Amino acid sequence: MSRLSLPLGIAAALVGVALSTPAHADSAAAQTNATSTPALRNTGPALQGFDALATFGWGAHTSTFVDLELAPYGATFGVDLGYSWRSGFRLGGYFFHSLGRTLPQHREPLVGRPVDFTAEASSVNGGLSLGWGVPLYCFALRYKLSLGVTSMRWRFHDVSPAVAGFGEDTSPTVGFHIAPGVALLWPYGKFEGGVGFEYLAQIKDTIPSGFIGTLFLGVKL
Amino acid sequence: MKRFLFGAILVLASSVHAIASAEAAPTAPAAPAPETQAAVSDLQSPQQVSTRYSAYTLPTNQWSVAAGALGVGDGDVFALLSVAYGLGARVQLNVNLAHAGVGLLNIGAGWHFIDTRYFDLGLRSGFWYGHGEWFWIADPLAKKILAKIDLVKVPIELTASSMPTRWLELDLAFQYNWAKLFGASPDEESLFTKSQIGMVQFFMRPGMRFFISDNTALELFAKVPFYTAVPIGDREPTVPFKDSWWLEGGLRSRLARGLYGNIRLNYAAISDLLYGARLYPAFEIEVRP
Repeated sequence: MSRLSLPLGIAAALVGVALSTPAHADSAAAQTNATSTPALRNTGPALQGFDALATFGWGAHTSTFVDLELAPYGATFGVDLGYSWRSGFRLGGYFFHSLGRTLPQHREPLVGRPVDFTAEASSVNGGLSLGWGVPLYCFALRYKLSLGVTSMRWRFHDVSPAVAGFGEDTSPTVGFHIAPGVALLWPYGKFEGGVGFEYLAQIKDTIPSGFIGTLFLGVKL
Repeated sequence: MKRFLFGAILVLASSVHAIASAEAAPTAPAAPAPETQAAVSDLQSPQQVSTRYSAYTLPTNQWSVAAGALGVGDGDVFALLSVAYGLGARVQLNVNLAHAGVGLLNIGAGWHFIDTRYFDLGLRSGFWYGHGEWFWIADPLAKKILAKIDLVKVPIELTASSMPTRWLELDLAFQYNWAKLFGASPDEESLFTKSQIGMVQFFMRPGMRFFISDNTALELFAKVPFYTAVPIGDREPTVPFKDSWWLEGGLRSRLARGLYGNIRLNYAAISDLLYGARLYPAFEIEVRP
């Protein structure tokens, strides 16, 4: 079921975009009623267009695999491309590389001596993202749900994966992720920048989930 | 579980986009005034106010369909595909079809019985029945434990809400969950107990929402349990506070007319048990046609 649902979902997303009408009346209504609305009302920047953003960030893992702590995120850089319709709906793609970190580990097996070693990990992530932007004063607040793949490279210094508790797996470990996130973007002419976060909820247990704070910088056409 | 949600939520997200865009299509140039007026109402209006964790209910004849995943709250744990309807007299009915689809019947009703300018009270209750053998989505080990368990639960909640200003809403809920697990062994931990669905619990849930614009609100909630116990046998072993509280922060926006998005971050021991991390996200899309 899980194998089928992903392509079906992507197909449904594309059909949804194709069939939908491009605009909604909120912005127009807001302008025509500006005088009768409270101060909180805002129209915000135009949402429609193609944007290409470079991403820089820092990520931290939020889970472990049994006792093994891997840090495949850390300093992160990549790209985020997408097209937003006038309604705010955005279909995009992303790719980023996380340098990861090396963490010291300690094991006290039931039999034998205690073992100290270091675990090194990094990751490459990419996929498709569904988003929806809403105007927020001069900003655009973008909700995102990304669906993609993580490839995590790992290496244990001085011990085998089995001793480290990683079983017979080999590097890289590849798995799917779901990544909800939010970005607050500031369009300035053809340029766009902002900050945001996304949470990579990993499907595969051996890849830790992680929280990534991101800085965006790019162009909007 | 997460694999199943992966595709299902995508289908739902795309479907609601089509629905919402169609709903939000510009009307004819000579659109009637009430239509325009409706468009300028904000997230504090009865049509758009959040009924999640508040005293408010849906307006009469208003449908709501919400889809989400990765929740840790009672009604949205794991997955949410909720259908709700405003019956009138500030009463609404709701059912989580995502839970029903995996063998957990979850129906509820809410009554917003005090409705004043600055203070509102709502009462919610429901009936849950879980038949472990129908929980087809669990992994084999969890399924083996669940297979012999039946769950009955009746939650009752009293929620006070107040909107003292244009930018603030305060909520305070007290909830008691009566639950009974049939066929469970005291030594075994099942998904019903890990998710707190099958626990006897009395808790308080204070929260606040900051309306930072007409279409976006920042929401903060905490679950403060006074008593949590596993309803097995006569002794009902209690669960300590440190394993049952949670914090939640999120954003809710009107994405288009009749379409709402909500993303949250939860910090809780229950997230660790359910998803393997204390800090975990949840998301939801709601359509009110």
